[in-house]
Amino acid sequence: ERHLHYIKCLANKLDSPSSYEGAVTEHLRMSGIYWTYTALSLLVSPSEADKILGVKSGPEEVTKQRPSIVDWVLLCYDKESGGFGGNIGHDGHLLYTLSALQILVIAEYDLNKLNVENIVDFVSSLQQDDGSFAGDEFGEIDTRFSYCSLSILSLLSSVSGGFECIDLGKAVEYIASCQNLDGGFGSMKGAESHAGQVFCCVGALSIAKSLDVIRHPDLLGWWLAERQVDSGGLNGRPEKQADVCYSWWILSVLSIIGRLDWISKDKLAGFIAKAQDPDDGGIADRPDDMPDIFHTFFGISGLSLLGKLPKSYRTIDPVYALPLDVVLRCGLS
Amino acid sequence: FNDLTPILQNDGPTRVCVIQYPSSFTLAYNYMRAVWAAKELSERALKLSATCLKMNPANYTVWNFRRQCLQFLGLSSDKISIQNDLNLASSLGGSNPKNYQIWYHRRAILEIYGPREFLDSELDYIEKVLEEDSKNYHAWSYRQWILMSVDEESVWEKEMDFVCKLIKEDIRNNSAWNQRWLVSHRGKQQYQPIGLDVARREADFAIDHGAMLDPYNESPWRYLIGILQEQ
Repeated sequence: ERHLHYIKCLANKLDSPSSYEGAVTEHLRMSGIYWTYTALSLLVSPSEADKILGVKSGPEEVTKQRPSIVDWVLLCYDKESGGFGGNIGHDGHLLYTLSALQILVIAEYDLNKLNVENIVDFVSSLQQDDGSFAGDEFGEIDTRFSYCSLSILSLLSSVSGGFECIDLGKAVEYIASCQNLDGGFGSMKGAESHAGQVFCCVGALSIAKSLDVIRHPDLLGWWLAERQVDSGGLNGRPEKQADVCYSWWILSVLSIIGRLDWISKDKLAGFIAKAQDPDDGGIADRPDDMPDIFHTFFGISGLSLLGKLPKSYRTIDPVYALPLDVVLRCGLS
Repeated sequence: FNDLTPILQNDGPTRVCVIQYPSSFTLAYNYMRAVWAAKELSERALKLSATCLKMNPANYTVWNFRRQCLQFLGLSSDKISIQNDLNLASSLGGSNPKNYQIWYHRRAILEIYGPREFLDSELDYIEKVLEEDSKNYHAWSYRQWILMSVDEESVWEKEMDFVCKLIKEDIRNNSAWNQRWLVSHRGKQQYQPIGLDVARREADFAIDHGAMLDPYNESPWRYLIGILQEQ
């Protein structure tokens, strides 16, 4: 209840005058909306979530001050690049193209209405010779973008040729080359293993049905399990602080590689619970800090993967970070 | 900018999240949007982009635009200009720069100009950042990129000294251990396992300067396992 209250109040918080936080996160609003919508989707029914956020266009929306989320998402489409930007007027980028599609599939938007060919061309244009992906035409390379591109193409597979437009083998090869001495994965070849990047790499390999390229799954599982610290929380790298968002990045991977019981679920759930704001709702990065939507979403998702949310709630899919029923509806497993 | 009409933030026909931005932010970005609408690439646009970045150093679209201006003005191959932009990125980052765009800008401009001339100063800058936060992920990734781009034996040897120093200062610094792996493999870990002599030296280091000194620390044990598995 409190988390629902927190999410509902979010729009009002951003409404407050001279919102510096609103100003400096303007360029990633698409991801912010995705975190909000998906978190809500795990707590209430689809129709309830749509009503709270004003997701779809409809006669009842015309009277409201706010437009539909779907309409706003479509306004963020950047014709020049072929991808979606983080907000209206921003350059297309893989990160926000993925967030946009995630929002649209939850909202059951008819993907045929999108400029699918151009989106697919945008993605394929970003693949490099070594199989890696840039985030946009300006060239930053990161395994986050390998995940984004494979997930985007997968979500669009019902209305496009799936992975035909890219070299899937090379994409997998590049991800495999980012495996490190400790069994984990980094942002690029040689970069230190980091839980967030591990999620991106393993998630991408799962989508590509290539988990077999993981050379030492037990070593990886052990590395992930060692992220659990005394407080019960998980950190992202050795000797770093526990943070609620790693509940997602790590649990999802452990789910995918079938080693979820390699950590103490109860202790982790306890840590997430302590990071909740008991008065205003929302979840923070760690106990006693201020909540934010990012950590609220990942905390709730973590609890979902732990099986700690009531049975009546929807569950989250560890690969696509979407409600499981949405993933199944898209014909993905 | 009198010749341009400022363009207000367009949040759609009616607004999803009604946000009141601080007024100087609004002004700068209104003119930035006007410049983009006019498809202008110019000196004044370049200056304006710096103003906008000071207000929001994570705005990727502004960074992209700035690089387009540099290219257009022929400044991508101008040493003073490149130094200027490196300084800009440094000042925007502060002592613990943690956004992707600030680091990527350094790489993007040096990919075009060529990193060699700036190697020493860049390594110095990264070292300063690491002094504040020895595990700054972006700093390490960028450091790896520049070392692998230059790929000179003497540079790798110096880097090994740097790594040894860091591990001595903090045996638990996993980033330093990760860097040691890269350096001992000369950045070629994917297709060239190290020879037996180097492997022995590395295994001994992991034991004598890691595991023996602090047996409850993960990093040297993982390093050792990595070496053995590779051999």
